[in-house]
Amino acid sequence: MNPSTCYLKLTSAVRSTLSTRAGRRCWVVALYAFLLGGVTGLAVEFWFHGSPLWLFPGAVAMSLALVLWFLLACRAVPTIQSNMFEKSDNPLIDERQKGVRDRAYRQAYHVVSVLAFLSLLAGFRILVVMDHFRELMTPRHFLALSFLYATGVMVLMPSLPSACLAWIEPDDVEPSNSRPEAARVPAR
Amino acid sequence: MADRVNASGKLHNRIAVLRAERGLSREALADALGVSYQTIGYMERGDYNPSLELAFRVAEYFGLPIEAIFARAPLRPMSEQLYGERR
Repeated sequence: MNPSTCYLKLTSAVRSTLSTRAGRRCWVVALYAFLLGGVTGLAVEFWFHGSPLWLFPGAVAMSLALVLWFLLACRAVPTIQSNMFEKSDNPLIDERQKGVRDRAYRQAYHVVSVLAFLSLLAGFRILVVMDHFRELMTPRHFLALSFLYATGVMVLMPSLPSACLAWIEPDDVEPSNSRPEAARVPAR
Repeated sequence: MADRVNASGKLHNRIAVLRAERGLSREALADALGVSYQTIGYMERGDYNPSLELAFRVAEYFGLPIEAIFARAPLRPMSEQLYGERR
């Protein structure tokens, strides 16, 4: 079974929501909400020394985020997958798709830059707060923060271009509608 | 001083009308022009302004001058443009 057939079967139930911009935006918001919830849940689990309270919801949220990411990424495959690092022209995608791909990468870069800056500020803030409460950064705390950052970077870097593409592309059009009927032959 | 050019950036076109006249599906036109059918649909809807090169390819495909297909101002119906001026 080729990948596109497999994707069509997998997404048959949700394709109508993926074909509109509003639907795709809802998916992107859900993806990052689940991702944030999942990563935070797992990091808190590390932070508080193996509290199972956070582990299960965190793992479920992460899994849901990965499923949503897979669906969005598959939809973007023809455009995004096309030569992330390739400079030459790819004949498989047209000028509009190249333009929208470049725009998606630019937007993803901006989002990552802002998030990296904010996460640095948040990291310093955590250190300041810990210092205020005379608490030492233990290896467990360090592990929790590292997990949070590493997972964030690992998931954001590859998922953001697909998400940006899903966010900016207009509603889909049908491939073969608007075909006019053949001219009718007069009765006599 | 000349009037300022409309800077909205939106291009109007007659692709949908020309395609319907010739009984072409979006997919067939897209194949002929070497683009995706989504690109044809977005051009028809005004969501995408084609490059000059693609605009010329469209014009060549339909055998019309480029200004008959693309314009910066909303296009009048072709029949009105052809016959309205003769009155």
